[in-house]
Amino acid sequence: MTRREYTDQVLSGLRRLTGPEREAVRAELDAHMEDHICDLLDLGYDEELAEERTMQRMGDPEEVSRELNKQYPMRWLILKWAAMALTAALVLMLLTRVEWGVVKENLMTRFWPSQWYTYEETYEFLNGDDTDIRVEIGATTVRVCAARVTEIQPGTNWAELFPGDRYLAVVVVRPYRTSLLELGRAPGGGILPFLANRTTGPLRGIKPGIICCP
Amino acid sequence: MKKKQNIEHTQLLVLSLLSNEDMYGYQMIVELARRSDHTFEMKEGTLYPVLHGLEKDGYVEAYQQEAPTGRMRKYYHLTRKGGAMLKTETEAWESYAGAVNAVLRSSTGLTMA
Repeated sequence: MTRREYTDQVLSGLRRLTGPEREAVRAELDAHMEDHICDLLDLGYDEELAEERTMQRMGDPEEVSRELNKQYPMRWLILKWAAMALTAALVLMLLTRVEWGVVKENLMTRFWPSQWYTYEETYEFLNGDDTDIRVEIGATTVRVCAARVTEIQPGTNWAELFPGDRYLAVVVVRPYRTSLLELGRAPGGGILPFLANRTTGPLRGIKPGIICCP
Repeated sequence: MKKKQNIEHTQLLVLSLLSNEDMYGYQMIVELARRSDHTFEMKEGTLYPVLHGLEKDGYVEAYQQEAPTGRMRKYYHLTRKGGAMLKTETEAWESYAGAVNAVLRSSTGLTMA
């Protein structure tokens, strides 16, 4: 076994150590072996024998590795990973201007949706104020934050969009995406006309509209 | 014994070696063998888990220093906490050794020096 093989074997078991800590262990063991070999060379050993004797004196690399690993508590490494992940998430949010609340809501909806509706069923909740509902509309998935039936006020944009209608079902949605980077961006303009065409179901006669909030 | 031995013998020997001067690992091995007349010749690699454990517990601290050969060496220095531990453990060891000697003397009937 060579010096390099010995330190490689010791380092292979040091799972609790960070990269720099592992390299420090390698340097320390390597310096030790070099010192020992130099002393033996001074005594007249040839190079090969000096290295062989030194390796014998070092002991079982697996035992050294196992015992060294024990000296480094796992919790620090976990804490370090957690801190790094948190920092990365914060930086990402600052860069993409995503709010914590939106991220949390989207994650909750992704993994623990309280309700699930298909597009065909969307009219069933338009009378209420349900939130946390995921709806698939075509290729886009949106998260419904609120839904209500409202009276169309004359002179508003809604009145222009739905001339002759008195009531409007308003669905407030946020885009739902799996990627954090895409959170917070309003979905494309295709949703409003899509919903506006729906005039069947329990809310017959009331035109549905949709408000997208970024 | 009144009190449980807190540290292993190797740790005690290492702390003792460091009480006079800062040393690096290989130097400790050489010194230990010399001072104990080759009674304490450990597998050299196993010294490092002991040293890193002492460092983790704050009994020693380490620093890098360049050797005359140009190679960086990791020196260990006894901290105040380590010094206090050495004192306590040395007293405990002496009282233990004294007790063993007393028993040996009385059981063999020999007069010990």
